[in-house]
Amino acid sequence: MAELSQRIFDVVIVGGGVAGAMAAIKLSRAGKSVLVLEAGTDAVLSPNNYADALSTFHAMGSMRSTPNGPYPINHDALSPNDSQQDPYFVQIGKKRFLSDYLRMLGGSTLHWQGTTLRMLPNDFRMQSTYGQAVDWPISYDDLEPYYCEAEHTIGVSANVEDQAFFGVWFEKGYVYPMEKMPQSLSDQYFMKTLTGVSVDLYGGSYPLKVISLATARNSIPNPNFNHGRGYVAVGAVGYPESGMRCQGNSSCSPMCPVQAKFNAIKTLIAAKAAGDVEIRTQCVASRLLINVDSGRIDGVEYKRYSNPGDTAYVTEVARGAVAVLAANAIENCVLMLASGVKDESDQLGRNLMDHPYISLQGLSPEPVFPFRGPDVTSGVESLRDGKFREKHAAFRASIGNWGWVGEPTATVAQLLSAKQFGTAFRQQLRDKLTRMVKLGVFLEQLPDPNNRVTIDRQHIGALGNFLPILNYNYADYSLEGGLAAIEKVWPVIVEKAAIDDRTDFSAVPPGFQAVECKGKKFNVMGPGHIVGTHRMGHNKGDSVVDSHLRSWTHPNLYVVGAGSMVTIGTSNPTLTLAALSLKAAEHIARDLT
Amino acid sequence: MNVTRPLFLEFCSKVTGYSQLELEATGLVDLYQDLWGKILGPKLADFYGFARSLVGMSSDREQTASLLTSSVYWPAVSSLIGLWYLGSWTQLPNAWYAQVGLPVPGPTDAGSTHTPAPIAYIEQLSYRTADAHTPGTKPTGFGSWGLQPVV
Repeated sequence: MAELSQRIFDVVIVGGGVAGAMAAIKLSRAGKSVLVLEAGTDAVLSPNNYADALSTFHAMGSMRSTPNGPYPINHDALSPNDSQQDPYFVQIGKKRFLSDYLRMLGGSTLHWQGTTLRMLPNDFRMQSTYGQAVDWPISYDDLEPYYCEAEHTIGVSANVEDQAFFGVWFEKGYVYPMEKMPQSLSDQYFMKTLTGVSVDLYGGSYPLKVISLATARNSIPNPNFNHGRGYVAVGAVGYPESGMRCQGNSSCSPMCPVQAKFNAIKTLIAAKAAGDVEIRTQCVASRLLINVDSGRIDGVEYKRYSNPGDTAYVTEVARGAVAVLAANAIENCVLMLASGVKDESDQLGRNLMDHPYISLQGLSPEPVFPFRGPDVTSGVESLRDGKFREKHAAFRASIGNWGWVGEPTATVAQLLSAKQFGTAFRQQLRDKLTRMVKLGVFLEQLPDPNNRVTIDRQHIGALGNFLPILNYNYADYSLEGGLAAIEKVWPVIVEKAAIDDRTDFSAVPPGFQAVECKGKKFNVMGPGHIVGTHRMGHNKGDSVVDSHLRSWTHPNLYVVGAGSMVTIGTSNPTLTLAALSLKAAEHIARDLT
Repeated sequence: MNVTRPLFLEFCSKVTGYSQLELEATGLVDLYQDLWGKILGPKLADFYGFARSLVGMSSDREQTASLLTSSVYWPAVSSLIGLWYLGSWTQLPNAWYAQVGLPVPGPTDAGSTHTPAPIAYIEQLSYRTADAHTPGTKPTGFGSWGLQPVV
């Protein structure tokens, strides 16, 4: 161990989630030696342990409340929302930041939904197109090759014709690794009833187009992929023959039992197989050792604990020519702030973003048999861009395949309080559950310098590390987008698709919080899209990192992950952060030769 | 020999709307009868007397409903139906325990809110009532969600 500690790697990566895994595999394939430091455990690395987590999921039954639920609580690397008794975030804002992440090898990809959408060209130039937020230093065109690479590395199922809209382009002849996922009966119902239907937003008319979503779950490999070389699906870690197709377990979150859905452990294993990669878990990075003369990172100090929950730890230093922070937008900031990283822009920790999420729900006139298949397979994607963005947020609306929030528990409780039993109970439950439809609206949030991650010596957690202090709120720009979804779009869908509207904002479901805009109250949740705390930019005065995700002030420090994103747009951010990570890794590999 | 088992099963069938054969096939009958016995404790014999009169009634639904939902056992039966449909027992209100003269359960007692076993989660009736399956169990196969369910 002592000998390993002395070793100087080409690259030290902090964080064994999707951002770190993408960097690791690219650098490994480029012949670079890589050390991955993971704060959490490798508790689901082996097939047996993964099965244990599945058993925990079953044993928790219908009472599990968070996506982190089945994964063991680790007080040395606590995850947000893990424990009411031991909260991780210190929340000081007007609103709570509701999204969580998982601090464990594989990261939040262990419980993500797997939606892998590209961002739209206008998402990269919000200021020049709509006079909102700021432009990125790179364009969709710059990122396009890395999107292709990310889709290959992750293994994305989609078809180009559904994904090419609002200026999203693909190289001629490009096909995704796997065919699009089969669309659910709900999807088919909305496609049938909303064809040709439009809505008016801010003086413009927009069609309601329902299209399949690009997702990171195994479908049928496309023989034309990669110029006819084809694609082989990547199965479960340790059980490669399992999970070659999505089987419809209907539990993408909190966990895919067969790992047909991508998780970052798959990539980390591939990175190890491809070259010189070492993964050290239970090592919580606590400080970057900054050379006072050169500004270079001399090492990454970390605290290693033997067993989760131990209060004892040893402090060690990992050394590499380059340090890559890939610990998620919030954790990256905490580490940089704790290390006294120089930031002339005053943007470090600011512009924390998420997709405020609204659930709209009703009953279809005919059964659409939800609670089957992946949680989302299609969405209303035609309101993700338009002139209305001068005024309010764009949004996308996933068509939910798992009924309403909190079901079937809520309807069972309701029927019981109405003193129903026997065959009447069974029939009424069936009638309602089989007709449940849901639209999950993801609202764009703009960068706001006051939405901020900070640290303070008053708030120290396990192993003496800083806890993230979050100041968070929703601006009217986002909430007015929510109002447009609720008041201008949903009523049209309700009418055209003959939906019995059961949306009710009077009670706030677990995981949601109430918001108010122009006298209208509704509820929002956080879907885990944590973006924007160490933005990239044009110069050291406007941003924390450059377009290669390299620190402006510390030349061998790269900060990857969704924290580097300038705006969030309406795409679920994982594919974009994966593409950015690959872009950064390419630059690092070039730098090191 | 568990002499009350047939009665418990018949009663569960009556209140859940699932046939005895379907309930038997979940493998949960013994687990639930055992749990039910622990929850009712000294009131169990009384309950079986009540259950015998209820399952012996003609198929007149209104009469059954009136007898069942007005009885002192309804809150517990309601939670029993919830157990079958959701795989979790929901603790009864303190007022009910006071009314029947039983002690309020502690946090680890049989009467506390809990999932009695992983199989209770897996075999819960709610999802199959909707021609679906419990999440994370019994997947229906690639692409099945795009087709009408085959039951």
